[in-house]
Amino acid sequence: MNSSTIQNNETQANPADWVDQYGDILYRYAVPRVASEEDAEDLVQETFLSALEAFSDFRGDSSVRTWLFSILRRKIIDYYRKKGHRDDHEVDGDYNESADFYAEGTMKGRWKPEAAPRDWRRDPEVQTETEGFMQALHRCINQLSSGLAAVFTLRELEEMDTDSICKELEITSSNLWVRLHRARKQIRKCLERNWLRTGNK
Amino acid sequence: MSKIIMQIIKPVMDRLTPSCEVITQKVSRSMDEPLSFKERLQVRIHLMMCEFCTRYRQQLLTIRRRIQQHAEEWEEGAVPSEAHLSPEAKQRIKEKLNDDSEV
Repeated sequence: MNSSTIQNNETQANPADWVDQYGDILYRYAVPRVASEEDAEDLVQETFLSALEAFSDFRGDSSVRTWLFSILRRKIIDYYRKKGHRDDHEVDGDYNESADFYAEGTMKGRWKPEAAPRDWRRDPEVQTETEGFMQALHRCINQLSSGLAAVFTLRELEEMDTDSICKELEITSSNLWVRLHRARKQIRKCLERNWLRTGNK
Repeated sequence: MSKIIMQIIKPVMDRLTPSCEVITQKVSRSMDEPLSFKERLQVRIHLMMCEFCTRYRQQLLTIRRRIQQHAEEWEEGAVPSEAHLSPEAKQRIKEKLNDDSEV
């Protein structure tokens, strides 16, 4: 069997077979990027439905896998467009921006000792396996408000550039900086407390 | 001893660079776009004198690096993962696909 026959067989395959072949891998990609396993399932389902709809446009230039992933990534952006497109009040949540720093006196604007970053370098967890890190990270992202989770996921996990994120979420670049700053600050603190032993001291 | 040094250095530091609160914002933004020359200088001077903000910056970069590392391992198929679609979900999606393809 030559390669073009394989390609042909692959593209003519029954869409239901895609579910067995690519369902799990698409699901695994989606899970750390959305708020819940149900949301991940929904996105995978939508991905297959869109793929079926657009199947006549699929030229076979890329593999089915690559094509399905490009649809899924688009679905993830749309997911956050619906969730992350909120006013600033929503973005703030209950989070007190300045609580980590002295509010007045000679130390105004400097780290309070209890909030100051601890030394991660001595922690063995920082050096070891990635899977534990990703699970902890996922839990920390889930604690963010949806407006912050949206920008953090799109920027750091999907590695989108900032202009595209602003365009998709319909926010200004200064709003994006503020959101990213808050998200990173909260994620860092959450990881230190929940992932690293240094946080227990 | 360090207290005396801080008493001398602190007013100088305050005049040279903004506070930790402001510097952390700039450190974050530097991960998304180049800062102006003045801002880069402010951040650099601050980091030379502030252990906490230095850690802060390194840790944000560590988080980014770990995510990228995970993405690469994932691409190579090196990430063992137990997560999979439940058989019920697969069945449901297949039925949906069948319904849609018949329309």
